[in-house]
Amino acid sequence: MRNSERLFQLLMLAYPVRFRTEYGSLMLKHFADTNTSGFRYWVWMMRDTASGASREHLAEWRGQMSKLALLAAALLVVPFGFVLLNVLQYQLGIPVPWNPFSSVYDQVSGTSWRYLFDAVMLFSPVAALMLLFFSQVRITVGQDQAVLARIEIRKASRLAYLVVGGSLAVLGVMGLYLVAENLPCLLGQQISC
Amino acid sequence: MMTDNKNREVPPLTPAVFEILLALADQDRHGYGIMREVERRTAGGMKLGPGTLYGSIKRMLEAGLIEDSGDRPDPELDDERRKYYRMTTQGRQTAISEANRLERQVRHARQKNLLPKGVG
Repeated sequence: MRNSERLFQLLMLAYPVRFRTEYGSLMLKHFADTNTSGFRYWVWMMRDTASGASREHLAEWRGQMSKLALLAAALLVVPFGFVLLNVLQYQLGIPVPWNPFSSVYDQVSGTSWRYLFDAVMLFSPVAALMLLFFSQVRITVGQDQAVLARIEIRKASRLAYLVVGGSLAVLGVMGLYLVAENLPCLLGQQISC
Repeated sequence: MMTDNKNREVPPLTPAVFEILLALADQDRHGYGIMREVERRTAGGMKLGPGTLYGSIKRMLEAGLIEDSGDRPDPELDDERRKYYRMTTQGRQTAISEANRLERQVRHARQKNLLPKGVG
């Protein structure tokens, strides 16, 4: 195998595994047949790989996700951004150039909007997990006399794993915050709670 | 959606998909053969890289516009790693619809004096 073919094989790693399994050998043969080289050719080849690979990843991703899972992911965007930016900025001390949540939080702090803000931050991940559950699990009742209910679990997509991971991370961090904030009160160490 | 009705609108095909259908209109070809035919017909104006070509082929197979042709024109001279593709009836109808759509556009361009009248 020529060095250029080895390099092309490396480029092919950018494609999704399923696409590579199906078309990898054909593409390699195609490349070997083309038998062209030169800087401009490789620039063109990299551009073709970048656009082709991103298109295939997008197509694969679209095929895997259901609308409910997508809605669950959308619900997570704000709470996940809030937790991530605040942990980076205030806990790890990493400067964040723009944190829209801190100014919103400052404005609602001390008002009744604060409860709405907290509710959105807490219930969004819970709602996301519930939506994901309904997108992954299908329950049919009474269709078969031998069994009361049938539960089918769909194969989890990458998006489903992301939603579960993101929701648990948000709930975990916010739970820790709430405990840390209220622990002195719970232990009776603080006078005004 | 896919129809041979001359006046019925069909969604425009991507240039790569239309070119592949044109390349397969007269004979079955393998991927590299399609690329060479497109390059020859467009005088090098359109070059299909492996990513664009096989991505389009995948979508066209899924849409039923082309199919895997089991035949090999000359098995003695050919490499078994190559796969030949053939245009389906649905693919032919889609290509005809797209050609009609493009023809209508050219006619409109001519009416608007964007193209010289009576040429082509």
